[in-house]
Formats: sequence, C-alpha cells, structure tokens
Amino acid sequence: MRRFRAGWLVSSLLVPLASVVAGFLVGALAIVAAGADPLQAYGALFAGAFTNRNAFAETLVSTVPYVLLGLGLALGFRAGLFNIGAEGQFYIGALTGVFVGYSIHGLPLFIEIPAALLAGMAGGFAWAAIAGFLKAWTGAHEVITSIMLNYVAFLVANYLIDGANGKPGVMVAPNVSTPRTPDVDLGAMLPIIVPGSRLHLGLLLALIAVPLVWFLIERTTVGFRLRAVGFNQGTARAAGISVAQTIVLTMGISGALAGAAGIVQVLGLSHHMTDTVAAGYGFDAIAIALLARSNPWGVLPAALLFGALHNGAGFMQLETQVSSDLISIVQASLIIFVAAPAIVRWLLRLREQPVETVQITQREVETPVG
Amino acid sequence: MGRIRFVSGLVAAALMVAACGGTTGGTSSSCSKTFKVGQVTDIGKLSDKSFNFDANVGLKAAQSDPSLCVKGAVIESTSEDDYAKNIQTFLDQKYDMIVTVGFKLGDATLKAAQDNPGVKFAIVDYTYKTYPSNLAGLVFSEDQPGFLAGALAGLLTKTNVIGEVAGLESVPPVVHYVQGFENGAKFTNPKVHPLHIYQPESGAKDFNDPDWGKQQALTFIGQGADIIFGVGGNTGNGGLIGANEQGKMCVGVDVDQYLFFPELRRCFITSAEKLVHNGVKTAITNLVKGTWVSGTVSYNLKNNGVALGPYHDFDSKISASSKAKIKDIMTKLKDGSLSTGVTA
Repeated sequence: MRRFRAGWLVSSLLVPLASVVAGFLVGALAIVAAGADPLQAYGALFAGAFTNRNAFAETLVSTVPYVLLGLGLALGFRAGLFNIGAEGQFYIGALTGVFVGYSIHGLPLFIEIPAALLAGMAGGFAWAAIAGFLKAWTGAHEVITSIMLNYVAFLVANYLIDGANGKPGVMVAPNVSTPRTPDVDLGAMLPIIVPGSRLHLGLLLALIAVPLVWFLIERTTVGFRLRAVGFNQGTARAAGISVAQTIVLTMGISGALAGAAGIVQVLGLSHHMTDTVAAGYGFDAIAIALLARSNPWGVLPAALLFGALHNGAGFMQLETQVSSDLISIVQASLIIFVAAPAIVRWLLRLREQPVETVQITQREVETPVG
Repeated sequence: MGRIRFVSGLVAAALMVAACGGTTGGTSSSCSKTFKVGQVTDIGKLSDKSFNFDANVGLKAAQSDPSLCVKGAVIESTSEDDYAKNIQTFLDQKYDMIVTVGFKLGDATLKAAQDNPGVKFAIVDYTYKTYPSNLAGLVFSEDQPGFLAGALAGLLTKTNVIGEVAGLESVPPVVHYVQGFENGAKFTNPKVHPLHIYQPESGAKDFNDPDWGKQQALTFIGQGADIIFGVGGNTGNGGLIGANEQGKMCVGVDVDQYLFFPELRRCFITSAEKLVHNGVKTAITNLVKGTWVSGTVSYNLKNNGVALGPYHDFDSKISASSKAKIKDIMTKLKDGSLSTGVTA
C-alpha cells in the first residue's frame, strides 16, 4: 500500500475529512442506540440542510456566525492563544453594536451598518483584549481568563437587558412582554440577499473576512509577529518582537471577529438582542477552528459543515424524532478525532508529519535570548 | 492489515445497524384525516423536566389516542435564532397545528400565526393582549395547586415555620405558586410563619443554581423551617436537596417530582402540579373536534389543568382528617366558594 507523502495535503485535508467521517460513524451508533435508522436520520439531516425549501439559504444563515467566530479563533490559535471566550465576545459585540444600531436614526444604510459593525467589533476587541492584557502582563492563562470573562459578559448582558433588583435594564425596549433591546434602526438592518429567505448580507461580510484574515496572518507584519509568537515566544522576543503587544493585539482581533459575529447575527436576523442570543455559537467555533487546522480558508468548509448540522438537525428531528442534540455528539466525536490526529493517521496508515514551521531567518533565530 | 479491518469493521457495523434501524410510528388507518401537530421547544429542550417535557407528554398522549388521529413531531431548538425557522420547518411540511413552549417563543409564534391563518397555534405559559383567531395562549392557575400544597404544609408543620426557595420573581408563575402556597398554609394554620426567597437575576444560572437553592433551604431550616417548597427549576430542586439532607419535608413543583428524584423520595409530602400535558392535549383535541378556542385559555382545578400530586410515602403519615380538609379545600377552590387570594 502506497504511503502518502504530501504532508500539507494530509494534515489539512485528509485528517479533517477522515475525522468528519469518523464523527458521523460515531453519531450513527448513537442514532441506533436511540432506536432510529441512521441512514434515514442522516438523509433527513441532509435534506433539512440542503434540499428542502430555503434549506440551503438557512444553512448559510447558520454558517455566517460560524465563519466569523471560526476565523477569530483560528487567528488566535496561530499565535498560540486558545481563546475560549468567543461566546462572551459575541455577547459584548452584539451589545455594543445593537446599542449603536438602535441609537442612530435616519442615516443611510452605508453609514448605519458600518457604524454598528464597528461598534460590535470594538466591543469584542476590548473584551478579548482584557484576557490578552492579563496574559501579557501577569501570565494569567487566557483559557482561564477568557472563559471566566464569558460569565461576566453574560451577566453584563443580563444586567443591561433584564435589569436587577426589580429595576428594568437600561437597554430594555419599552412595552415588550419579554426583556429585549429595542430593534435597531431600519437603516442598520442587513438587507436580505435571497428574497423569501432569511439569508442576509452578513454572508458577504463573512466571505470577505476570509481572505482578509488570511492576508493579515500570512502577508502582513502583524501576521508575521503573531505566527512567530505562536511558534516560539522566546525566539520571537529575541527577534525583537514585542510578545506582550502581539498577544494583546491578537486576542483583540480574535475578539473583534467574534464581536462581528455577534452584531452581524443581530443586524441580520433578530434585529434586537435578548440575554440568551448566542447559545453556544462561540463554543462550536472552537471545533470549527480546530477542524480548519487554524487555516482561514479551512474555516469556510468547516463552518459550512457546522451550519449544515445546525440547520439540518431540526428537520432530522421532525422526520425521525432523533433529538437535535445528536449533532452535538457528531460534533464532539469529530473534535476528538481532529484533536487526536494520531488516531486518524493510524487508521489511514499515514506517517507522522513534521510540525509546520514559521519562516524566521537564520540570523533572527541565532540572536541570543535576552 | 489490522487497521484496515478495523476501519471496514466500523463501516460494516454502522451499515448493519443502519439496516436494522428502528421503526417509526404511524396513525391508525381508520382515520379519514390525520392531523399533524408539531411542537417547538425553547432552548431548555425536552430534557428540562418541566414544561417542554410535559407539553411533549401531552402531544404524545394525543398521538396515542386513537380517536384523535394525530401524528406528532417535535423539534428542539438549539438557539434563539432557530425559533422562527423551526416553526417554519413544520409549516413547510404542512402541519395543521404547532405547539410552542414558553415566553421566549412569544414573538415568533405570534408572527407565524399572523402569517399563516390556516394553521392553528398554541403557546404554553404565555398570553397576548390580542390574538389572531388561530392562536391560543395556554396558562395555568399555579396559585391553586400552590394553595393546596401550602394547606397541607400548614397541617404537617411541627415548627410552624415553612420556607419557599423560588426562581425569578419576574416570572409570574413562580410568584403565583409562592403566594398560593403561603396563603394556603395560613388558611389551615394561622400560626404558620412562611419564609420565602426569590433567586436574584443570575443570567445563565437563572432557574439553574441548585447550590444557591440548597443554601437558602439550609438557612430557612436554621430558622426553624421543617418544610421546604422548591419552586424554580434546578434552583428550587436545590432547596429540595437541602431539605432532604436535613431530614425535613419538601414539596415539589410542576410535575410529580417524587417520580423524577428517587434519591429525595423520603422528603416529598406532595407536589404542586401544573398539568401542561392536559392543556396541550385539550388544545389538540379542540382542533380535531372542531371546537378550537383562541385567545387566553386558562387551565385550573376545574378543567383538570392543575392538581395536587400524590402523597406517596407520606400517605400513611397524613391523618384522615387532614386528607379530608385538603379534599374539602379542593372542592371549594373548584366551585369557586374559596379563593386563593392570589391575583394573576
């Protein structure tokens, strides 16, 4: 049997693909355990995600936040930063963005939308940068701080929308039966791009973000520093890169993308915010970035897969009464296979591949660490 | 080759189980028309041991009733943005009726009802000021089972102190239960001193902070309480756990919690039940029989929408005269000669 040699192809395509297949196989076992027919269930999942009326448009609707969040996390991973706080950054981005969105009135769409978007990204940036500062200055691990900041973000949203001690929140809309913010101004709503569906302009924004983030990582000084820090902090420092600054900036950009996901979701779909708006997108996105091997281009198919799972699950449950929670099993097992590529390599009889390296010149590497 | 065999084994296993997969239920062939009824849960999903779950029990009961010719299906929502979409999924499949659960689906349900006048909608635990004629809001008189459970607690307490560990005060059913419980206890035992606490707004931990609930129960017990009423999802359940640990009595809520918490059985004197399943089944029956009722539909003791749960292990410990008193109160609440004193 011939062994593969093209390293990048194996690690970027084959391993994730095999992980997806393995994830679905594990899911099939769960479906059987639940007393249903896996082929029928997956058939309905596929129909619900792609072939039913408006199904593909809805899949893309679900894909939009996943792309932006996945890009943010992938960017962080490249700098060696494991940002678990995307969910919280999503909330804060939605909060700051929706505030601008409902505060401005009567301006043209090409001013209101960017204003709300920028506000959302700024909110996400600032929120994530807190974890970045803590990491850079005190060494506090970003996994811990960013996950704790999630709870702070939920509670901030809760306080601002639901209020506390019997007083309504300051961002709550008047005369609504359940606490939520006012609707954003008409000019800040993302236009629908496929009539009769909910698919909004956010899709284009997400698609534009992919090459932008790729360019940022691969072709700019910031991206170079980010990769260098991710590769080896000591070496990066020796090469004259401010590791602290890079960490804060990377966390910030990662958070800005998560914040963008939050506000795009609000501007495109609900047009207002409640205190439970995210419901796990930020955590799903960790799996997406892992599946994409932290490659911005890889985020696109990975996000599409998760969007399809998210969207198809409802129809699958309708048709087969297999709980929509099943897709969590598929996603979880898929992550295990992605995170443990050794298993997949072993299954596929592949050789270990050397770790991808950052391009740092010989001179920089040899500079003594100070 | 071992690895290849492993892979093909995995595939074969999956195919095999696929081939002998489960069967799906169908309705009896005697039905001239099958009514398709879909349920959309909120993000608490079916595993909430509360109204999502109980509404589904009602849907299943309607489905297994051969006189109704109902085919039911449920979609569990994973995020808020899914509510409208999941309702639409049922609409696309030409469902006759859609049952939604909880205030979170309030907006999406109203909009779908307005856009689809030919389809009936029922929402559990939510009301509107005005309704389209194809929409019903199913609400339950929680104060009645609360009053009955409180009346029992008033009869059983030895310390004359009882405590209620509750969920958010901003959620009306919670307050109805608590006030009904306190009024009921005072009705049978004027000396009783009720203590209550509502959970502060806690975001993700709303109705889901058993540690906090347990702590409050322990505090009440420290103040002499010997019966704890847990009202508010897992927060209230924490109160039950605290009561059980201290060997005190407890009162469950919404469903017969005795059945759901085997480890707490020795503490349950009863549960204040809200029969969401009966409400849902009645609404479905109304559709099938052509007696559809739109607007706010109230379920109470009279129409079997709420109930006092069984005494279970305490059955032998409650005196016949106490049982008679409870029965008498139930009759009076039903015929309206006694009021719980709780205004909705």
